[in-house]
Amino acid sequence: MTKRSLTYFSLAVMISCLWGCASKSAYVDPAGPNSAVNVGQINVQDFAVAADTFVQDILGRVGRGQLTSSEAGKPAIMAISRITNKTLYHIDIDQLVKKIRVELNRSGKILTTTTVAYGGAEDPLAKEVQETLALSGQGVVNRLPDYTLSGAILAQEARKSRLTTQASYIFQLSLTDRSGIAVWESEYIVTKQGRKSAVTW
Amino acid sequence: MNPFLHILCLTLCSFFLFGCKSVNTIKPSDTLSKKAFIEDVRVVTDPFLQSRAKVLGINETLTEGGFLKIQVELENLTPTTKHVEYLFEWFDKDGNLIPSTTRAYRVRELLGRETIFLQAVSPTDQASDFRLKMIRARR
Repeated sequence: MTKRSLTYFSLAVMISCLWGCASKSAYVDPAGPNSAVNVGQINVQDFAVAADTFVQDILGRVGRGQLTSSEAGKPAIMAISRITNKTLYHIDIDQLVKKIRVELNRSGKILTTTTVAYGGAEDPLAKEVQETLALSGQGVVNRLPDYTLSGAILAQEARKSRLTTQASYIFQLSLTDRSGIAVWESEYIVTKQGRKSAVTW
Repeated sequence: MNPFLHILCLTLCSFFLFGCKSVNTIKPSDTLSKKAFIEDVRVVTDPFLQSRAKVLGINETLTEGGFLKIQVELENLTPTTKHVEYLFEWFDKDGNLIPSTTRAYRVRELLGRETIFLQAVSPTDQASDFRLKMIRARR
């Protein structure tokens, strides 16, 4: 091999290496098996699986006398109460709650009120419309919720070895009926293990 | 045989045997529960997974609320721990996929020779069909 061809070859290798080092971004299916997994945080698929577990458990109990509507033939109404984040990190509870609400809504068995909620109406304008209708004597349209959803998210860390850490995220939810009895309760735990450096806290 | 080689072979064998912590399962010979097993069609694209995790049966029931409930019995054919990821998809009577915001692959661990059950309830009472997808878990 001549000196010139060796130089060209080296240059080509260097260029291909640099090309390969360029950062690439790509879309991935959030429900697919290729989404990112972090030990130190709750990933999008963790919220999806947790919500799915709760929804399946709730729907499996609909019609058993445990979860029924106060108005026959109509879906039950659920209000969102306090769901406490007991972990050390910022967690947007809506990532869990919204999925549960959407799936229950789509099931046609349980709908969510946006005018009765812990800490005030989620939709103030809808609440205002209700109040205006009530004041104008056009009938009270505010149906009280049959159930309230409350719960907590907790986290626990454990060390498996010098380099491997385990993080568990515990989702606990309850549905309470009008008499104040928790008619449905469930817990789902996500446990992940990874390198210590992968833990962000 | 060289004594050193003999000891090495024995050590390797003992390591192998210690690594195989399989599950012993005990169940009643006459089960009172009656399972409604259904016929299934399997499309296998990963023979490696098929040779390790075997679907023993699928039973289907309808909940009181009219939701389809599926239970799949899965057996780990190997003496070592395996992980699978699975996903249920639901279809209405016209064969249309029922969309879900909670759709995600779930991970299950199967100890050696262990049999587990994968359960799922359909997201609506309109579901009349389902599909189960299984892949090897990322490790």
